[in-house]
Amino acid sequence: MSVGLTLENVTKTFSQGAKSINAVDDLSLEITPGEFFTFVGASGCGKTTTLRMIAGLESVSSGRILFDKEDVTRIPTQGRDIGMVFQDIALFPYMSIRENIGYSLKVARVPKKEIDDRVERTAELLSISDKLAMKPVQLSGGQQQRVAIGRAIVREPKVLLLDEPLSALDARLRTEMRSEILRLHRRINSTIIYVTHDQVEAMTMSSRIAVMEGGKAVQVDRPRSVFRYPARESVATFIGTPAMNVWDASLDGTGDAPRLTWSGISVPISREDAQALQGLTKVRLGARPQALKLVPADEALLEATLILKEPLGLEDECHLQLADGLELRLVGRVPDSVAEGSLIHVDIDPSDFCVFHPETGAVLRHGLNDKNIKAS
Amino acid sequence: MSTSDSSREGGWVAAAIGPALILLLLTAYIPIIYALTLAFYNKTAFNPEMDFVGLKNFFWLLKRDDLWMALGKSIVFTIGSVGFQLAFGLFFGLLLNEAIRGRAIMRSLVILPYLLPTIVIGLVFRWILNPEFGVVNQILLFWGVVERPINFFGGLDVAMSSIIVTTGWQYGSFAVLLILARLQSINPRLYEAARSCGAGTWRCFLDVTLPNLRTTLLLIALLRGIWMFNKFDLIWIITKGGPLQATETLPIYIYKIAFQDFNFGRAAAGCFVMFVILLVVSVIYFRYFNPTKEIEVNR
Repeated sequence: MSVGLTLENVTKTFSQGAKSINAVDDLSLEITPGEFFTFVGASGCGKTTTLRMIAGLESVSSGRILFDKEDVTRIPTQGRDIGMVFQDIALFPYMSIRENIGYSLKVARVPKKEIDDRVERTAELLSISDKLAMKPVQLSGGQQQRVAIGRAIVREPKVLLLDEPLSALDARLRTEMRSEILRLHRRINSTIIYVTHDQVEAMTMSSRIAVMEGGKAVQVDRPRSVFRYPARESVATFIGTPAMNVWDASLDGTGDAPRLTWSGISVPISREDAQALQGLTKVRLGARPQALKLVPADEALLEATLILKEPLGLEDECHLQLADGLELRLVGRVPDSVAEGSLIHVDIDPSDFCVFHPETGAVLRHGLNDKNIKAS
Repeated sequence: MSTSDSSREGGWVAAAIGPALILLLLTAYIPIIYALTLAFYNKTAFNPEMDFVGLKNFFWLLKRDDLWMALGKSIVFTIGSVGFQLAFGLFFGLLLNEAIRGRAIMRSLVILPYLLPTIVIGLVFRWILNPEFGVVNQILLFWGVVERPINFFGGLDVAMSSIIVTTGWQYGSFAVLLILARLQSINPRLYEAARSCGAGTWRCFLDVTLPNLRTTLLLIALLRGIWMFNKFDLIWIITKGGPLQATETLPIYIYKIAFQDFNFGRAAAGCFVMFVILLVVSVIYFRYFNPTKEIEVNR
């Protein structure tokens, strides 16, 4: 039976001597039953602390945590009916796989026969049925993590918490386990709260993600929305590979012909755009590498030197340099005939631009309105 | 590597460990072998001759009731003392592992008994437990726990327990150190995993702490078991095996044969018997518990 979670003004303060830091700062959000919810962010952003507070492994300095309508803020971990998977796996090395998976049932004094049944069903779900008699040390990292997941889900907890469960695994295994966890989520249908620093994991697995920064959730939304409509420059550059290109541009040509200029390129913008940017003389302009398109010279917005080409298989990741030294990334198909060092022509669709505030980093505009922006 | 290189290396090895080996040979191995061969001779302090008597010393010894009584006392003393040390070590190890106030000072204090010379401990305990002036009896009398002072080291029924507690106190800190070191190397994630599975404090102790301590506890039991079985000094200092033979363990009994009866041949036979007992117990222990294998699996 899965539950929804509510975090109400949750704050975690760590004090070091006279100094105190809010690792999690006044965080409020709702997680609906059955959701795959991911906290993503760089290390030190408060994502793991948040998860540990939900688990009860870390006390809450102020605020409340609710499972459905029940306030669990003061309930210790063992009373919360959760399942948890840890980054360092943490199986009991002296117990067999069978004992590891069945541990929570043994603690709950479930009859032996039923424990066996449920352990076997869980092992089947995770394709480790043939490993039940072994000890953890005899298993590979991926198999161990499956056992850890089995141990967490066997008693069908209200909520399943996963703390960077894949970061101890190698790249190929990580991709495999990613889809495995997703398939599991579809089958057991429980609420999953997932913590990762890997934005690809966050993007590919989650129903919704919370991007954490300095103890705050700076954006909570569906992965596609976060990608398409980042709330801040920091979110825009964190989510998506390679990172979004962001550079300085100045805003001038007031009145009837407002325009953004940078690197000798001038782009007219609509009146609505100008209104949104009112009062500013400088902005940060962003465009995803995938939005940069190779075009014939007469359709180009800008001209750049191809300084480095990294083939990704179907596409290439290209490092471009403009005349004044500004570097941009482009991801797309680049013909083999275009070699490093050659001059290429690039266009960016106006709707693909993001405009951010130069100081606060907050987004001001997702896409520029004028359909006919071209270099003039 | 060429032949000359390897032979030169062999020379270095010999030069490095040779002196130590010779020293060990002269001070340990030769005396031990000499002592063990004595078991087959009639050798007393009053007779300069050494007559080969075969197994006669052993036959004499094995027929003595005193030997079997001493063996019984040794077993009681070893198990009692090691048990006390393990309990002491577990209790203070767990206590000092908690984040309590003054933990650093407590940790230093707990090692102190281990650093004290045995003679000091023997004398101090004789005073503390003295029936007339001892502080323990004064307290017990004051609180009305007892009506008459207890003769801790002089009473037939309490002398052994008192010796056990004294050695337990002296060597318990060794167990505290090893157990504390092991406790601190337990991955805290294991406790968190257990708690996330619904385990409370007691279950965490049973399912995380104890299994992780298993190897350490077995190791302490073996090392301390051998030590306590051979223990001589403290018992001799406090009771000399008395009252009557209440605390006369094997080492005390053998010492008496050697230096009260001055029969070195029979004493050597006694040492031989002790050696064989320890050998058999150690082999059985390693067959059943193999602590090194435990460590490998736990990694």
